[in-house]
Amino acid sequence: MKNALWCAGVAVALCLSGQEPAPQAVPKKGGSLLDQAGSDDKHVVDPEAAERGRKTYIAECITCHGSTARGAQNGPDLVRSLTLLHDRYGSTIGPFLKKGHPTQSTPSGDLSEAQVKDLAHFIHARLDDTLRTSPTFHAQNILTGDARAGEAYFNGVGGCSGCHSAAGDLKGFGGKYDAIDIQQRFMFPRTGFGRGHKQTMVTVTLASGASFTGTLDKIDDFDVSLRDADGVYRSWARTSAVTVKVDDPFEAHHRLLDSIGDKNMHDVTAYLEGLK
Amino acid sequence: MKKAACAVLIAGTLFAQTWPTYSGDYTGRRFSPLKQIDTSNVKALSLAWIYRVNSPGQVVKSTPLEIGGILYLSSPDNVWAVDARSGREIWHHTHQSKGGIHIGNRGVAVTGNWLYFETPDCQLVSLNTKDGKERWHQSICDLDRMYYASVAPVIVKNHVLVGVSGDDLDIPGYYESRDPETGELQWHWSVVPKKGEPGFETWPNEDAAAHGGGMTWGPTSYDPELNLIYFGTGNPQPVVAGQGRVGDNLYTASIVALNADTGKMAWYFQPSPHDTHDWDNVEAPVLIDGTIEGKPRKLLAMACRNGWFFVLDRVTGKNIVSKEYVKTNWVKGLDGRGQPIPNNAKEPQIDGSLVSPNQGGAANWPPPAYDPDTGLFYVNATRAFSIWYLYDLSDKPEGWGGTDRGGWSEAMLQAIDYKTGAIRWSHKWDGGGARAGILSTAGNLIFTGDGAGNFVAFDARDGKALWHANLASQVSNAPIAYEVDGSEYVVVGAGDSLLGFTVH
Repeated sequence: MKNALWCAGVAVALCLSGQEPAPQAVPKKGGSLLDQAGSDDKHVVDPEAAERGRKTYIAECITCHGSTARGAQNGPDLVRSLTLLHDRYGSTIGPFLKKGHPTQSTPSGDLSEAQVKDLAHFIHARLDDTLRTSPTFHAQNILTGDARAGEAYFNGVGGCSGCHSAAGDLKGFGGKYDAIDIQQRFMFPRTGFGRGHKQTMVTVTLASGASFTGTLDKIDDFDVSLRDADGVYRSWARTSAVTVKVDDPFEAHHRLLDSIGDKNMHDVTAYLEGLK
Repeated sequence: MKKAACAVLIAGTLFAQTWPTYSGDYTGRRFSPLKQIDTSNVKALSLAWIYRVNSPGQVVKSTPLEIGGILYLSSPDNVWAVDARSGREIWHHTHQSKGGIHIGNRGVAVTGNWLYFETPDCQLVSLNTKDGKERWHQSICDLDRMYYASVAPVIVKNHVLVGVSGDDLDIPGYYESRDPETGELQWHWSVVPKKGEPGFETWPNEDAAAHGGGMTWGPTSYDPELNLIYFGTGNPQPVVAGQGRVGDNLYTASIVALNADTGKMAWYFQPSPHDTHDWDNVEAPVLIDGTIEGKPRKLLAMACRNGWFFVLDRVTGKNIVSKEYVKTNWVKGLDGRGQPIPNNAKEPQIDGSLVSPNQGGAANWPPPAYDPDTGLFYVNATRAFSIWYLYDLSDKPEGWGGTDRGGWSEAMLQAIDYKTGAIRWSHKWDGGGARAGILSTAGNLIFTGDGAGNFVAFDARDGKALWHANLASQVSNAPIAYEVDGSEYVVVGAGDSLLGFTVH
């Protein structure tokens, strides 16, 4: 997705300038790590040019190199070829084609410079498809579980019904989220897509017997802090004279991780998805 | 000068006041024989100086070297020389980058008057230690294939040993020896074997092997008596979708021993056969001269990203200990060599498979430590779950083809008995874990950090926390110890700062 946005941004810049992007046109030191991958002057795909290049690819290349340019029975993988990886806007693909191509049906001289550039954009776009942030990568079918078995687990050994119910807090749950979001929410309520809204509570008891309960602000091996019901911040050093009891509302979910197994996880996903 | 430097490295303890190579010495133990700071006075440890790298966005992940009262540290495209007494900058070298992933730089190597470091744009650069001026640079990888370089080089005899990084375009991993005077190639070892070579049978075809990954971005250890170097190799590629590379995928995700002068492989051990979870096996190989069943043995120990701790005979590679150091769920048994047999059901699945550890692993690049006095191996460990999804269902996936999502984790400092793999003591981090390495010292101390920004000293024997200071940023490298002017210093990186502590 980031790449797509990046490419779209470059396309806008192209429209404004009416030129091929200059090699250093795209600042790269910031952004995601993947945006930094490769050379600063690497080929930046112009989606419109890639679409034009698609026509040339279909006419000239697809039979041997396949629809994704990853190679087929009669032709090698293009997106992993050094000719492409060293290419900038046709700089190596052009000379390669001009020199002659063993199975080329159209003589290379028949491709104009513009066609070579467009073709380069198309094949570089297929290279981008293989990158880990490519929008071509997304979850497939998550709903493989048995909803009835999931319901039995929910109400039985899973212990979920101790806190949740289909008619109560989970009413309509399945209609609110995609299947993968549902799976992430119940497996990892704090850090998954759920990012649980429930606060962790803490009670700090001093040697005097005085006790303070509130929302956990921060805890480490040496200090603990909370905000009490009035919103007042308090903190203590964790000495031997201080007892700290943390109440994590998601503890039952964490305990499930060791026991649930993949089948129950898929079954519960199917059950929750059906709560519409 | 070169001979003197070698003496420091080989003897390890001969000139105990220095930290002349990435791991302190060639063993990878990160054990300082200094004991001026010990369990009795560590409570008086106090800040002596702070050096801020003064370069936007930079984090000190590198282990500094300390040689002759000067510290040498690095981050991507940057090297600094800093006075080890005062934290004052002596010089700063900036490399004009042509690109590459700027995720981190582990450190530099020094021999004589020359310093060596790798850059994200695939260069091995040599500087003059006097003023930081460049002597030469040599390309060690192809930026267009999305390789990059982040490793701390190691000097062994007349070799500068370098590894490479890159996980995006299904590229083969390799490891090289370069000439210290010119940077020219001396030998090249390919992680993935070619057709006809041993190990090739663990790949389905030449194309899969030629794009099989196995980056060499971890530290190197060295046994001068055996003249063997030891390091780990990264995950195979494509990273997550492994259906196009059926087999064990040697020598990815392995520990290997090579002849230092020729690069010829002496043995291998593969902790993660046919990895599909991004579990680079590039954690530090720690050389232990220990005792097994009453007999002195040359050993190698590694706490791997996959959650398992292994002890091997470093002469032969034969396995002695295979044991989890955190609970995992991806292994269904051990083979005859002591290697885990992966449970196929825990490979990434279309509908998700719940796996522990997660992608980040039970351990990662932050180095562990070993204390010969306690016989304990110390590692910052994470127990984590995530769900692994397969996205690319084709016969020939490329790139990653899937990923893991979500997660829950807990972090702890584990002290492992190298003879058995048993956890002797464990300290759970209530403030979460940090990407922090570990220093052990002869003062019976362990230094490391937590997720809340605390820099902590533990009693190495029982795990009791004896001292801490909150540094505002998490400890971001592995601490070191050295002695100048008769005073022991402990130096640690935290965010954009390097901090020196001592007992006055």
